Amino acid sequence: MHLRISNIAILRTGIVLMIVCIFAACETTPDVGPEPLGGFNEKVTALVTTTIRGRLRENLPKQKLLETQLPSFEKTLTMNQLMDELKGIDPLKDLAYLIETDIMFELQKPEHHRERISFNNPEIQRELVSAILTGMKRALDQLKGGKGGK
Amino acid sequence: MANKRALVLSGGGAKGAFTAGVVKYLMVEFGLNFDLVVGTSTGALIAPLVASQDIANLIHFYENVEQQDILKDRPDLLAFLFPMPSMTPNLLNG
Repeated sequence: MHLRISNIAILRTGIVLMIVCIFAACETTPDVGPEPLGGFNEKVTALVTTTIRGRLRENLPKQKLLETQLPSFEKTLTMNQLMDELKGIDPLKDLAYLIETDIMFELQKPEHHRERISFNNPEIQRELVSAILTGMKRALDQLKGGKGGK
Repeated sequence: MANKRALVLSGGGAKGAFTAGVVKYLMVEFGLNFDLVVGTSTGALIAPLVASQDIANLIHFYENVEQQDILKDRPDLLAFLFPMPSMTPNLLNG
């Protein structure tokens, strides 16, 4: 009886070793974790998301106010226009300064030279506005209990 | 000798997410720079991103890492190779 169990164990060991060898022969490395953010706009979105989520957490009136203003913000063409609109809403004025700080922090880095030298380019501005709005929407979604919101 | 500013990051696994938020405040909102960044455990993972001022990716990684990125389901090889007789029936029978 004892010998029979041992044989089964040896057989199973052989099967496992064979499977391990097959996997070891494969050169694929599984991707672990999220892909790093590469571009300026993606990084701005990440910073803006955190800033807004941090400032508006447990402040439902401000969250609702920002949400109602989003359609108006979407009409803006440049970052300055968007910030001016935001600064015009008194309860959300501090958000505008913090978002500007986020953008300036990212913009001064050497890898964002292209965005820095052509910062007033309409295309760069359009993408930047879109990145900020994406951050705002993502933060509001997370505050409502979406991914990463709790 | 000029004063230098150092940032020491503690360990604590998931508590690194809190550290990431504090670092974001200190560097982005408060505008601090550090001459030396050191850390242990999860703090050591944060340190290179802080040193390279890549705060966006630091936040991104902590917000988007999934449980399966850290803990993978693995088959219990020992139980498969050497199955133990179940104790449950004996326990149930008293």
